[in-house]
Amino acid sequence: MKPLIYLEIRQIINSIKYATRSPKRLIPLLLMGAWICSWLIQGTAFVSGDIKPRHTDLGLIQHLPVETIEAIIFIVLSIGSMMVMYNAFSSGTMVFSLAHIDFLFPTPVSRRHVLLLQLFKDYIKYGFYVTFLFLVIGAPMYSGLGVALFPWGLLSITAVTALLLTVVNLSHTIYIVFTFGFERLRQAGILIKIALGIGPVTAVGFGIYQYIQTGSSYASILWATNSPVVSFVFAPARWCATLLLAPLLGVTAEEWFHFVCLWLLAGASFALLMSRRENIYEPSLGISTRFALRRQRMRFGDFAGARVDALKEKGTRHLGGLDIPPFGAGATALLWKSLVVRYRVSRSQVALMLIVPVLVIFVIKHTIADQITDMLPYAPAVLLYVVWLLSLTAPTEMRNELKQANILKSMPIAAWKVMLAQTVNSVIYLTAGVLVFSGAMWWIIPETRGPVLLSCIIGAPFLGFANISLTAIPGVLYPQNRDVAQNYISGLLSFFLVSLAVIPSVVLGVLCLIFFRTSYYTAALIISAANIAVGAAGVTISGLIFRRYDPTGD
Amino acid sequence: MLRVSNLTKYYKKTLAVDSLSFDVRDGEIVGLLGPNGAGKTTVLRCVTGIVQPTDGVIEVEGVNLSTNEEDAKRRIAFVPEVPTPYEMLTVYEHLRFIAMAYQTMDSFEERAETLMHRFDLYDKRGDLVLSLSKGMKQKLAIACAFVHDAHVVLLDEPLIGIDPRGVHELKEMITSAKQEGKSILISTHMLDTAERLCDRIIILRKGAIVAEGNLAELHERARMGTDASLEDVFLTLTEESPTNLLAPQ
Ligand SMILES: Nc1ncnc2c1ncn2[C@@H]1O[C@H](COP(=O)(O)OP(=O)(O)O)[C@@H](O)[C@H]1O
Ligand SMILES: [Mg+2]
Repeated sequence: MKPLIYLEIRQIINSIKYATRSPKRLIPLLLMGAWICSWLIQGTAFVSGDIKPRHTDLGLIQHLPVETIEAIIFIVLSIGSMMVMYNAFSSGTMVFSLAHIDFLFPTPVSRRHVLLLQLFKDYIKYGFYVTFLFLVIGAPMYSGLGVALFPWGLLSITAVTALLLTVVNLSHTIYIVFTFGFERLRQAGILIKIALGIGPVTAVGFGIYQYIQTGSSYASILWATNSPVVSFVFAPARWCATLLLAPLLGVTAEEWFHFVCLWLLAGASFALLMSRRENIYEPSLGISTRFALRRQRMRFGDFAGARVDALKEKGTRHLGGLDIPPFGAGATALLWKSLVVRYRVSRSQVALMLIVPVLVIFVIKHTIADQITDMLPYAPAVLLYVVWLLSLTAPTEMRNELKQANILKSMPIAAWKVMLAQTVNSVIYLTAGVLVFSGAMWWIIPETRGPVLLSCIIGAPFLGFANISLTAIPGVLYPQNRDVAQNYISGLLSFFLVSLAVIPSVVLGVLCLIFFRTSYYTAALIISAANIAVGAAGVTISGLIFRRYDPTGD
Repeated sequence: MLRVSNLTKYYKKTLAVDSLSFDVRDGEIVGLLGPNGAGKTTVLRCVTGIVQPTDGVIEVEGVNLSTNEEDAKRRIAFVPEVPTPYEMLTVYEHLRFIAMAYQTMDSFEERAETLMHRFDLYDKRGDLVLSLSKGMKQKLAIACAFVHDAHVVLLDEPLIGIDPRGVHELKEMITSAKQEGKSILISTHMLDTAERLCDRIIILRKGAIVAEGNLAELHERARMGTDASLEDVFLTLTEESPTNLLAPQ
């Protein structure tokens, strides 16, 4: 145990020193710390009853019967536990660092100690998550209902923690056992999976039966969650759901008993896990390697790389379906390449871009559209907000592109053309998004069909051009996406520049429409002309920076 | 002395090592050669107890790894393939942690100092591993392997990414370890190193031995003249065609 403790303590001390030695690293850290603290303080203030929640819409919860709240909590907890354990058959959740694999695992340090320390660290982490979530979400909610959180809130937190630990221990055990007994224990595995699956299946059966009988979906769901098989298989989740309502309802003797049972289960599952004789190092190899790679990518803001890894994990995939045929030479060929790469790497995002707007519009139509009928013709102005949002993702793409700066710079293409190709690439995706969004509006909400929508469609790509060409500037200024501080600064600058880029459009829009009372189309044309000018300036500036940019220096 | 008998390793359904048997005697350097995915790393990971053999016996100086794991592991030093050391330790602390883990703290200071001088790490002993280059991390991994006095030394592709001076030092360390009577097993792609450094070479393909012996024996096995290079022998023996399936010895 001694070497392990030495390792942990030295690492903690060195990390603190490392973070505090440079303001570049300290500032983002402090900001994040302040953010978390503000949540915690707010949460504890709710707990002690100092402030009342700002959101009065908690009234919705006030009108829900207690059984419903309990049923919702129960469904979330039981489905969550089931998924975690189900997944444990194929991939584990015990993640060690690569350094552990390379340097700790070969040493004679007892495997049991290594496991113990790892579990201990995980438990602390989970306990922290539960407390944090409870303070952030639970505290204001209870406060909205006018109940004091303590002392019973503490009981709720510890009950959820016990359930979480049980699930975690069991899933570790399942994964370890089935990694080695893959063939031998196949039947047992199938049995456990069936046992886990039987709850939801009977629940659905019960629910449908009840729905046919009563015609009330609400009653059927309640009935299904209370059906006997579900109650038996997911008893711990049920206890936990009840205990989460302790601040509201108080605690009965039976619930105290359940609370003790939850902790007994946590203890028993821990003992089960520790009693396993298998080599716990091996099951963690694959997952740890993958996890380390992903974390590294994320830390460096290399999202495209992470996506490529995800593609790789699925195995070599035949890229069937639509593809973009090659076109162009020089800078236009560069544009083709960027379009294709982005399309291939983020297919699921492209699909989301098609589906989400339709869904959003659909929901709007069926919820608030009736109450705001006179505003609907002006609703397309939201498109400008969509443009702004989509522009914010552009710098990340740009910086990913600049990872290949060595190649880009050695090409016989003028720097500004390289930048223009990158910008146009992003503008094309943005325009596609805008078109889908406006198409959905046109189709689902007829009131929006009119000059505002059409002029917004005309103006959007040019606004996008202005925005994106400006956000490209921090992208080339701080191209090292392996550096946390550069990522941070570049993100901050792009946010600022995008907001700056919108100003001409807003000013011109107000002038045209309110002072000179021009038509929407005229306004759109004038604004677009201004945006082309802004965009051209942006491309020129980033081109100049890119020309002087030395890809070999860090 | 390292003895591996009938070692078999399945990762779920993938067969990575197929009933492999070999010895590394005292004062001997054995090279483990084979194309990518042949199972070299898996063999070394079995011997160091990182993965659990599906079948077979591993003995380190007569100590059985599966029944007496901690004792067996104490006798082994291991340099992993493309090592990822603890980034948040300093070079010195890293060496110290390894020595603590192997419970060999006496005369640690002198040994650490010598090793750090040998591998150009002395100036960086207070620096975080985070700031080391790839080659320096490799050197640190080698220093970690030699900071405890193990009798069996395993090195997984140790020569990748270090500068000529580092390679020279490592070769010196390996030969002097051999003179001290240690058993050394090196997995490598670098055929010329294997040719010059190793007393015996084991060629693996798909987890099984296709040939074993010193250079002359390998030439004979591949039915090539002595003027053929190890590269030719390697390519012939690891080729996919069935004509290379060798007659049993
Ligand atoms: N952790 C693992 N899980 C599953 N399969 C693995 C794992 N490690 C290696 N393999 C597989 O075992 C085989 C041998 O790999 P390895 O020992 O790394 O070969 P080498 O080191 O000779 O390149 C390969 O087919 C590889 O895909
Ligand atoms: Mg290998």
